[in-house]
Amino acid sequence: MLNDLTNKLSLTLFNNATFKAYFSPFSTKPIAVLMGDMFAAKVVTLATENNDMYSLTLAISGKVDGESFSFTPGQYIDLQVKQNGRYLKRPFTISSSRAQLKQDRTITLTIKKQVSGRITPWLADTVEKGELLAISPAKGDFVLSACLPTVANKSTSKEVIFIAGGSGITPFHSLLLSHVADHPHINFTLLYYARTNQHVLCENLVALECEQDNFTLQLLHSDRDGHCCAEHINTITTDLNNSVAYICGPNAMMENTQAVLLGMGLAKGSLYLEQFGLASFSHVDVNAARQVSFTSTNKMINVSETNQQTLLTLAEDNAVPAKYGCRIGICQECKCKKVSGVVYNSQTKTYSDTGEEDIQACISVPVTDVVINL
Amino acid sequence: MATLDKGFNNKLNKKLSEEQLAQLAIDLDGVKAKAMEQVGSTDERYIKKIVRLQRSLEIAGRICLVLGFMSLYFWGIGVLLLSASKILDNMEIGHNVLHGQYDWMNDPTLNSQTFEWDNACSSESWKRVHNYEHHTYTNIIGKDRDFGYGLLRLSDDFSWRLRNLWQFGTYLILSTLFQWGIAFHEMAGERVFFGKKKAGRESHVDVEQLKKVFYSKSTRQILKDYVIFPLLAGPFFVMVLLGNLAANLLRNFWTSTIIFCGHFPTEVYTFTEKECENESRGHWYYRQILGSANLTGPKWFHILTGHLSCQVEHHLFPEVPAHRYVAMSKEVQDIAAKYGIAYNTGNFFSQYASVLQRVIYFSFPVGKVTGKKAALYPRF
Repeated sequence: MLNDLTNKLSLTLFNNATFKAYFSPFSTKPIAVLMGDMFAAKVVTLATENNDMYSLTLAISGKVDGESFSFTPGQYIDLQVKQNGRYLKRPFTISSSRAQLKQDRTITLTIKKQVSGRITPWLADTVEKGELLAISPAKGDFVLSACLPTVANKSTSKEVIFIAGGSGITPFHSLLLSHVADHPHINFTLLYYARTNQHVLCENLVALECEQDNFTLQLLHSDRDGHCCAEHINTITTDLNNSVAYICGPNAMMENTQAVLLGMGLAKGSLYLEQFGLASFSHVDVNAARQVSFTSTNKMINVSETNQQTLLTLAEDNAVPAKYGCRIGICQECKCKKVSGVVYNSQTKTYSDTGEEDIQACISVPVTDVVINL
Repeated sequence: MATLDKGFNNKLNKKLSEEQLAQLAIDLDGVKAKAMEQVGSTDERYIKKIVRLQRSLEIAGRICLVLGFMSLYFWGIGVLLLSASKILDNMEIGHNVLHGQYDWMNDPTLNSQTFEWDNACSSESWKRVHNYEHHTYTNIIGKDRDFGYGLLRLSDDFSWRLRNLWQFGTYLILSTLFQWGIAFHEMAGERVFFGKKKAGRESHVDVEQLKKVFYSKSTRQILKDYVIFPLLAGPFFVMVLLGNLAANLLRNFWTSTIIFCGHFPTEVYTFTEKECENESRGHWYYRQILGSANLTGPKWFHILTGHLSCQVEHHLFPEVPAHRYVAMSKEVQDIAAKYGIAYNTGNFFSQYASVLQRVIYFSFPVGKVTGKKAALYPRF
């Protein structure tokens, strides 16, 4: 009530939604932190894991919607950085345990440098200790509680199988460190595929295996042992019917592993998948069919690979209300928020970022699956 | 009156062929792409610095107005500081942010969709009339209501009416009340309160919504400058109220004068709807150069005009951060020269004098402009 009143006063006196916004240019903090939309995340350490992965440890402070930062292992956050004057967000899975957050209010993100990615290689090179970044509240449902009702119904053994491919290890690292000790009645197994010498975060996992009877760690070398197959699964369990499985890794690995497990009799309802991050643009096939989702109207439109229509035309053809003006990219009346995906600006002949940003619907052609706030 | 012949060679403007226009578009797209490639932290630092300056001027100005009880000098300085703050807010910050020049920063406080400025006109209405109508249909008589604002006869495209006889007075009143003029601009175009809606006008907004936004924004602006801030000054209510009024007036005169210098000096072209039907991108660029005029001056002058002193560049590249226009203008002038397109520029006094000349000239019942005068008031 009082808040509403002060905001009204701020709008009247300074034409800014809040007094904070009016004074924000005098602060060096990220604007989202200042406005209470994101948590402050101060860089504590940056550690190299292998030649294309690194771990970023961040000290979290501040409140969003009156709440301090918390997360459930397996979840991810959006990390916001400022690159060349521009705020950009990317989703990263938290790899650290809940105990670490409790102990010193830090989380660790283990990040893979995307080939020709805009953020991940740059961040590794430029981020400095003490630098202030911003993170969103934790999101995602790749968590242990998702399977607990299913596990409870299993009469005999209670098996939870985690299968990681490459950088897909991150959620499992957090899940295992946080949950193994608390669930002694569940047997956890991790099958971790990576090329030789490319396994990361193993130190804590090896220690955990020594300490806890209910956890088995299997490091597999994809260049030697090949991809996931029935043989690998048979070494860890004989009773897939009574198991649940979580898979996280590159798309091809996830598809293959899923097919193996379902083929061996795992119930579909016992399978949990995490699409691991967004493909960087260099990996996007611009000539593929794509799906446009308009959030406010809940409309999903399938667009064929040959369809080069702009988002404005797609919206109008599908009765999605959209503002428009000049239709030639001058007036910005059709500007709308792209939540995710890549669009092609037919006027500047450039591709957009993958994350959240404003785009002009009248000159933007979707090139991947996109989500638009219209 | 200052010299009105800006030295243009009117043989310059032979109409360009479609091939030339296509090449012109490629050249100008190149200038834009080069500028956009450089856009980054320099622009972020620049606009943040200007916003900090604006906030500082506003706070200092409002404090000085209250201190006016000690000495009238304080009051005078307060008026100047506050009007400078309002000018920066409206021009270098507001106008440019609302064009989306800083949207790439993903900063919610400098975003074209959410920014609101210290002006009676709501940013929502401004974007429809200015960004869409004026920038898309620049100087097309009948489509761009900014050419004369529906009040002044500024070319022989309009037939003379009796009220044009005193349009110099109308101009002075418009200038004085400029923020209210633009606040009312869209409602006048939509004929919300009186008049018959123009055939063929496509409405992009519901009339009720238009009225609602107008009342709420203008009420807030009146409350701010004439009720709340004066009340906060307690016994110095009247002094602060008069200071705010003076600052608003100064801002009105300045913005109106600069904006009139953008499209109404002599030798600026007007167009008809027919000439611009299904026009190519090259033709759109061509029309923007012919329909706009620049002002030369020092850096502080460019900043106070929100870089509308580079009206030509602004019309060619409305989404490029405006502080880059001065540097870009050299390339644009070279391109204009290459195609023989007249590039209208001059110092403030000569350009403004020629604006006044236009206002006065067309207040008289002269018919179609012919002979030597036709070069001053060219039609495409």
